[in-house]
Amino acid sequence: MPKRIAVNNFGQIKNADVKFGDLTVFVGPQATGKSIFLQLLKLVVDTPAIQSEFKRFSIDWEGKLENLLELYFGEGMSGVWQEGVSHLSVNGKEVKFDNYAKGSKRTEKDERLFFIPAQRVMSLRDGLTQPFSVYRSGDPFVLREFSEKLHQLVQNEFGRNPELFPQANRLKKVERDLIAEHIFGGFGLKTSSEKLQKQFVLDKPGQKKGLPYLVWSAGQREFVPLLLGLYWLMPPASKPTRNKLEWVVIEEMEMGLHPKAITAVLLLVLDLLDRGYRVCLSTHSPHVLDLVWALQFMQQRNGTTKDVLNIFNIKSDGKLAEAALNSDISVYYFGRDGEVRDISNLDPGAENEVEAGWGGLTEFSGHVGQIVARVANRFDSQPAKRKKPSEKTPKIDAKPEAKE
Amino acid sequence: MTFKQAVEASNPPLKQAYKPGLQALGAYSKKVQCTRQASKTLSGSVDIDSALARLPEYGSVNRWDYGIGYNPPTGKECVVWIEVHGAKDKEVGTLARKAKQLKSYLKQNARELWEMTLKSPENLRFVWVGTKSVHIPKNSPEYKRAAMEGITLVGTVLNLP
Repeated sequence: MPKRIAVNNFGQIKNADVKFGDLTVFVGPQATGKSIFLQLLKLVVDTPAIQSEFKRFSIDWEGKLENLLELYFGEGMSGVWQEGVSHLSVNGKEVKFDNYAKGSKRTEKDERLFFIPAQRVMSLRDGLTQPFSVYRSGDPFVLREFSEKLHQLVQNEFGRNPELFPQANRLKKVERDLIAEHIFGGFGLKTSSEKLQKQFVLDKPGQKKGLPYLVWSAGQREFVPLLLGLYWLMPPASKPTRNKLEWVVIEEMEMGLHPKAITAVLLLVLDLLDRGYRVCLSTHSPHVLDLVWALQFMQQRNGTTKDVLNIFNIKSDGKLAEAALNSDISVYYFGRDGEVRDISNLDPGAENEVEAGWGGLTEFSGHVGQIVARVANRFDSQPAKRKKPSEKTPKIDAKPEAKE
Repeated sequence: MTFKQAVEASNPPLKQAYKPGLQALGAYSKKVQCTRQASKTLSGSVDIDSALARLPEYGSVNRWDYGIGYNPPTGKECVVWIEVHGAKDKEVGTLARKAKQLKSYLKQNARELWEMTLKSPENLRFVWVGTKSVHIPKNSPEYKRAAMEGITLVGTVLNLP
């Protein structure tokens, strides 16, 4: 299993050397290579399973790397790897990239990494799950595969039970409560078999008809495939993980969600860590880094499980909080210049502006703060007669504190 | 007017507090870095905290730490007020009280220094430098609250252009 992946000149990435923690978070502007890198991780971890899945659907890349890259990363993406220019090393060893197009020496076909892609909303077009085969061959493999898994889940595990949420044997009660409150707003999620198709609807007790997919909020449409992906990862069995899965990638878990809903999803991420999954996230949300920053601080300063639970305003579960406190966490910034930098410390006082500004996620807030400080000082320097009573700055608590 | 002259024009005991370079900052002098030559960037410093501590009326109030004379790349010599202080969210109130006290003192007792303060770049007038580390993210309400008081939290080192 890869603990460290380094690439040079791979897609938009000039140089990256990523050491994976129990939780690894990628931040950075759009189109800087975060998704490409995460898909590369999947390729490194799961080549036999990927090849096996292509073969299952009679898709042949003729042993050619270029064809495999077009099929795997998507149409027009074969240029991510340039022979003689691009380099890949895994755990410090240079890898011959051509090998990914050849038959793998590993015979193990079980998937080790579950990828929840940013385009997940596509997997529930019109409120129906979509099998692998309905996609075009130029669509990214990770989307097709994710979609296929949701289709299997709904057809097989919920075949006789139309109720998808809430489900007593799926997720912990504290997680269900947060999701119910902050995402579904009292509605339940179920499948309706009208017109002989299993269509998702939001259902409220007392209402005759469920709400179809297209009238849901954008956040609900984004969240439902994520929820189903988490159901896949958290089967209702004594074993905490599914089959041989060890890794989870979630791209932009925050998409369309209110900060309170993001908090609920972050609790589910901690649950994944508690189950023993190695989790990789890409995000544009400072909310996610707030949690990472707090956990790291707690790890350094003897924070307790109660402190972790207080972040979520919940009283249980201590085991999950313990796992969070024991997790090794890394954060990487994907820059527009193609360089990938380790900003794991997230030190707001770091001299490195990329780290201090959390990879640009708090940069705007800092910038706005500086402008406000300027205005405050300019106002102070204006003649007193120009100040109107309504322009007074807010009062500061006058309670004396010990002088430092 | 130079920083030294402005200090010496203020009321005692501040008028005797002038020190060349960053000497007034003692061990904290390393908290200020200059991108240009230091002797051209800095024109002196005062430990206003220690100076005012001698006055009975200021002995028990929150006092700002230091002032430094600063020659910006463009514009006239001005004053930057620096507080080296633990950068934790609960300290924002303390910093706000210190800034308020400092402004009040300067207006009443060191008019020339106050006038030179108003010539400083607006985000470099009252600067908060974290003692060891900074625990206030830029997206936090506390960072914004400090900004509303005109205080700029710069990290653990102030880099003067």
